[in-house]
Amino acid sequence: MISMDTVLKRGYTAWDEEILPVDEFDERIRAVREAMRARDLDALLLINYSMLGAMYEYANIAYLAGLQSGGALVLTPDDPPALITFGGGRELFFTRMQTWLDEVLPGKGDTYRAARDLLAARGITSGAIATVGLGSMPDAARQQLESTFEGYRLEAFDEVLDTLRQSKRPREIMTIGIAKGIADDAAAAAERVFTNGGTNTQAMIEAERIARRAKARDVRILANMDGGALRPFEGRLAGRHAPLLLWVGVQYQGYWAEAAVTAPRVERSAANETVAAMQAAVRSGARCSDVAVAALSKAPDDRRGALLAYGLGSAIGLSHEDGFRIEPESDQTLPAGALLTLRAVITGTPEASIATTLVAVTEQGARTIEPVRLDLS
Amino acid sequence: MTANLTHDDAAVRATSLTRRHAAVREAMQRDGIDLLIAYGNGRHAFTGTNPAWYLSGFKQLGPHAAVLLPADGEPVLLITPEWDYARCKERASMELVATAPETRTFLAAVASAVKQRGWLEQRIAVAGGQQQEAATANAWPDLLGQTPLDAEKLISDQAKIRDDWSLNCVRRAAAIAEAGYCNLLETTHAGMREHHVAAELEISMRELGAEDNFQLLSASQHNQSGHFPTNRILERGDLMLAEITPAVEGEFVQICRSAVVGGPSQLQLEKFALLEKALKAGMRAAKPGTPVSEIVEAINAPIAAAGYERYTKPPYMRTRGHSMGLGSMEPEVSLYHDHFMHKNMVFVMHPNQYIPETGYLMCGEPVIIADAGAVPLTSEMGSLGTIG
Repeated sequence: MISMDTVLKRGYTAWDEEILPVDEFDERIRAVREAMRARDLDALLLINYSMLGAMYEYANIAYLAGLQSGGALVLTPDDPPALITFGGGRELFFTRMQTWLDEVLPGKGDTYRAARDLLAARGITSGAIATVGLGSMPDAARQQLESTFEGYRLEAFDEVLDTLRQSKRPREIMTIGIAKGIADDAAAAAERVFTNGGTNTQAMIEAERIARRAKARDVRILANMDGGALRPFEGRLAGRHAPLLLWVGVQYQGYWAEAAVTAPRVERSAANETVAAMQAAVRSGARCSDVAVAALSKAPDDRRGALLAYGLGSAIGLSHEDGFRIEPESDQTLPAGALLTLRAVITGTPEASIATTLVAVTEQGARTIEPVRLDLS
Repeated sequence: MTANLTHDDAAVRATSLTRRHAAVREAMQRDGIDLLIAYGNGRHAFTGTNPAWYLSGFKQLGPHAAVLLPADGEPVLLITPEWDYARCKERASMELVATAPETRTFLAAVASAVKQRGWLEQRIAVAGGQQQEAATANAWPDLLGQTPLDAEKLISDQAKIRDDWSLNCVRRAAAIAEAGYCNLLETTHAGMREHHVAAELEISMRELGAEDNFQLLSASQHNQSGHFPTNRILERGDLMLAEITPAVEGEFVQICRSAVVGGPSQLQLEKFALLEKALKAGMRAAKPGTPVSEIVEAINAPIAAAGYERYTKPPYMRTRGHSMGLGSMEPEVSLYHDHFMHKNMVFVMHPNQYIPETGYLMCGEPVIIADAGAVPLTSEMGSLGTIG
């Protein structure tokens, strides 16, 4: 879902170790090392080029380090993984609090050189290095990295890691379930405010309050105002516009989930029926386009435009669109173990409504992922 | 009335947008530029600028937006996604094209708009706010049939001196920041968790009309630095650090505050007074024409004189101030930048740093540069506060 990106993310920022313990990361590292061995790769260099706090595309570094900040992750066959930050040291103590990694080092202005020095110190002075993240670096930065690693053979490893991440591990499913619980509670709070006579804007604010208090790090909320289309919070718009269509996206421990509410509630809304049709089409091996067609086949012409423009959903995980979307033109097949958020937004018609659901892809079909509510204080 | 704006605000905004276009066109003429593509990537972080927003007055929802501003002729605004057209139309001050958010589709729409208007053969410049994705930045030469000139400085030079609309927004944001902090002091108490305090602060400012906010909010008996909120439970003696940074119409304003649960000690008051003294020295020095290095020296002098010279450098601090500009990242108040003060520049000046006896302290104000130096945009400069 396109949602307005907020400024540097500033919500709850701590590693909830009871949710994502060290052995979970050990297992992920073990799987990556296995894939490296199968390809005769001597080390992994994972770059997250985003500045500290920018945290836009953090999926890969979060998967292995639990962090959402920039830097270079160095993984060799036998030594523990290490992170070299882009910063000079002031933030290092806080970075260390958020990761299971023992070795977090300051880049001191030349992170790539520090990474190369670390490889050399570990006896890797030549050979093939798996790289992740180079494709999203600006040209000048990538060239600087390539020049620093002259003498090594750099091999893109992005697709391998993407594939490893595609099928969600049990603890990832639990964490996404927690995010789903936060999103559902936020949407329910918005519904209560609106049902009790509040404005659409007040409903948005209450949803954000609930999500942030429940440990969301990033919160995105869109709601309709007078024109019908979904909008971000804009400060001064007021008024009560029924029905309220409100969408919430939240991120917890790096993992995303979304929820939606139509208020007043509509039994068997057009959006709910569309989502149900998509859910029925989900099974491993099915194409994304099959799922999209299931949504569109039941929709009259005047609904299709909005459905497609807002998007029918996507894989979800460490990014809100975690790999692929549900689109009529897509030839992507649904991999077993992936989690999908399915969505229908219908605006501008008497059937105006919004709905989402979170499902896991299995051979038997879609399995609904229920919200998880733990006492996380 | 323009949606989401009062009638008066809409009028100020319209006048300022007209001024911005005229000033940028004058600079384009000077630099031999026929068409400016002012791009915005939709990641509304103040670590970079958004030239599209600066020239359109519109906060984009999607990942791409661009204003095509010709030296002569009418400008065009391209936005993403297409379903945000109505919201944009309410505020549009120029021809509007809404397109799908995929990079390829957006760039094709830009190319089409440029070609249709006969601008392809002209000298083109791009300003991307230092935040373009590689796929976008690398696409321009093929798309335009030429390597475009870099117009980052052109936009920044105009935007670093705030006009009426920008000042209108920063004054509103400063008032929201102060009100939010007052609310925090009144409602926070021992036993609360950091992230609950942060959530309530965030929401209080949303209720006051801030469309966005950046904040560091953390507490410790001895802070190493400020950071994002954690699960920590506040207890008596904790010193809370807060960088509170609400935005109004894309203009962020930051106040830096320190407050102690149960009230500050004499030692904390003394050390905070030292940073206050440094801040005021910096404000006095910040007259138009002054290089930022002189302001750094003015701030550092009293701190060094008190025996803390080693702590006036990283990692014990980061910078003595910075812009969070919609259109300009100037000034950065550090020894490593060659920026100068200009009348009506707006930025946060903050001698935030670590002091060994008390830990990290925050003390900073949003200021505007006037003839006699920097003037705070807040109604009351920060003091070492008391929580609970």
